Amino acid sequence: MGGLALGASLQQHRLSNGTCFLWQTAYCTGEAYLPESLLLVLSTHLLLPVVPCPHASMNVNIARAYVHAVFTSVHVSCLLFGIALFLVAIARLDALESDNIAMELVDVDDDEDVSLEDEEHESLVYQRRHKRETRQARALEKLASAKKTRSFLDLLHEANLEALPSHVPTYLRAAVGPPSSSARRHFCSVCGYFANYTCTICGARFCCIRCQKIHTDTRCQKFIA
Amino acid sequence: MTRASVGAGGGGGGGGGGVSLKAVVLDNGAGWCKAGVAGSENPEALVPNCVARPHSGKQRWLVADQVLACDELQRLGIRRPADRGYLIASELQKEIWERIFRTLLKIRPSETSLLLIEPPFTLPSIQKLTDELIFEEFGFRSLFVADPASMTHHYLQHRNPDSDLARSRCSLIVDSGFSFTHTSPVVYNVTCNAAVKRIDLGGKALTNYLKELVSYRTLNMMDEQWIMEDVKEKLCYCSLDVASDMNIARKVGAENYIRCNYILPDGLHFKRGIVKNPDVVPLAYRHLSLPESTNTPKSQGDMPMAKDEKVTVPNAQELTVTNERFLVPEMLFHPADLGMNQAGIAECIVRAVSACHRDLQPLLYKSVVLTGGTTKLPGFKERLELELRPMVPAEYDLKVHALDNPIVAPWRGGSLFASSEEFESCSITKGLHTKWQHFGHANKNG
Repeated sequence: MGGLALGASLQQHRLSNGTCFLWQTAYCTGEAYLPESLLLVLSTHLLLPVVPCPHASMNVNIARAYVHAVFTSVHVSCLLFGIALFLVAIARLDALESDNIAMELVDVDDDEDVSLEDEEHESLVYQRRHKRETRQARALEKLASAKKTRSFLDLLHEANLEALPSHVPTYLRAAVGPPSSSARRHFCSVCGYFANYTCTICGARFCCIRCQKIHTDTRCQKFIA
Repeated sequence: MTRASVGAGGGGGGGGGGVSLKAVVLDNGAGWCKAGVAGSENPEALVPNCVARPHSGKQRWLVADQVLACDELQRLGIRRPADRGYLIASELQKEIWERIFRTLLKIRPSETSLLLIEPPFTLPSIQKLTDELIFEEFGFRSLFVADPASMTHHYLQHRNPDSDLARSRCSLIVDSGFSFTHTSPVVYNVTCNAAVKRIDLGGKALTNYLKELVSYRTLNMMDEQWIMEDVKEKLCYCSLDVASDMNIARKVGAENYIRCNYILPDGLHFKRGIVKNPDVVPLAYRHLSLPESTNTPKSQGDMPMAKDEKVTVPNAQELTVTNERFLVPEMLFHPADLGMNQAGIAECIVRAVSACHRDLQPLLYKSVVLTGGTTKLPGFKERLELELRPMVPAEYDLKVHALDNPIVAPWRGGSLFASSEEFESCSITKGLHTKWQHFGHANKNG
């Protein structure tokens, strides 16, 4: 199960039934992973169902809400906190692959008049072509504003590449895999310099007292990066 | 079959049987589409593979080359047909291709063969999607699908027939593109798929990372992917000594020659973003281009930032970047720093080579070739050599070749191949495609 099973979306119903219910989804691309040991702890100690599921793209808000919930409870908060941090890291990696999000907010109200005007500017001679262009523009409008149909990860899951015999090179097997030395350099989350210190509250890194102050004032516990 | 050279048969194409048919080469990258008629040196269309719309929302969606001409860059909304390097939104892709084929290249698909360069390990469902798009929506006459690595190899082989690469017919192609980085051993002119390794980091992730860093530290640029892309291309570089660069970047005042200012486009004075002090930019990596002897940083080296600001503008918004300039490309070499559980690019190369037969390994190390837009970062080659050398057995030669125009290298290879004689016999015609489809259906039903 190399690189499989990487926590993504968590659902928690702590208030309703008093138990923590975690839904572990698999993340097949191998860019991050839940350490096997942690998975074991989860499944044995907490009696959590750890089910590999298709990757549901997770947003930071879920993670944030989750972290909040963890803090309010007494149980196993340390462990879960670690997982939450981990989930934030995944969400962040996901964000690195995203396109410009601003456009989601752009409302797609009628551009018809505008596009007609534009075309006049372009001085199109034939009315027929004129019509076609408008139609095209409208079609494009529809397409581009439509939600993305299915993400690549959905398709990847659907392709069921794990089922292929081991000698067939596939997308999954082409991933380079974990580095030989896991030594991770830490950079200050505030200024980017080598960070020797860790925030005791949220685990972010900083390099000096000045940066620590900025960190606590602005970003501590916000889990943005 | 003697295919007339494309230049000669390039006219209308007519209905003249199979002789004067054009072939079009399309390198459909997730970031940029490279398209042009086979046989030419450079692609006629080198356009972003996206549609975009300025934030004001007054305009229609801009397609491909129109995006480049757009003057309103602030908060440009971008939508791409590819996700993680692979085509997923075929309708959107169709619009972009339509623009390329009909408006930019002015070809008639029914009389044209297509050579499509597609990333390796495309999922079967995506392959099907692409095939349908090509044969059913556009109705191309025939199709040949190639991978970027073998095409780059092909190009280099033709360009320099005396090189090690051409004689051994082996090379290791490092293709660091927009969505991911592939290291592909090419053995006897064929990509060895079983040994290809991938890092899920490319130009896009780097841009987004830069965006994220800058947004916290200086100005909020979270909506400005397009602008940040430009900042990255103009200012980022690969550091050869992270520790010392880090210390320089920490200094204040003129000693800090890594700090650069970028003037953001405001749509009024500046239609495009520009670097404020272009002389300062190469200071950070000047030791790369100079030979060892002249590398005297103390005497003339610590040239302070040019005091006379060439561009004096009222109210220009400036973006200051310091250590982000080298920390961002650094992630390619150490994805672990980002929290990614993947090896860096040097280790990726070693693993790809080790997956090949032992006798081939010295040949592969001898011709490591860098393609893809991300390898254009200054210092990429030097940094890679620095990282790779300790990992490669001492008795093997290590040669890393950077190309002068890595973005179009696979396209050029495709162009060469598509104008060669074998091309026609290798490609799949539309008729064959339909036949196979029927066959597939029959199999499924039966």
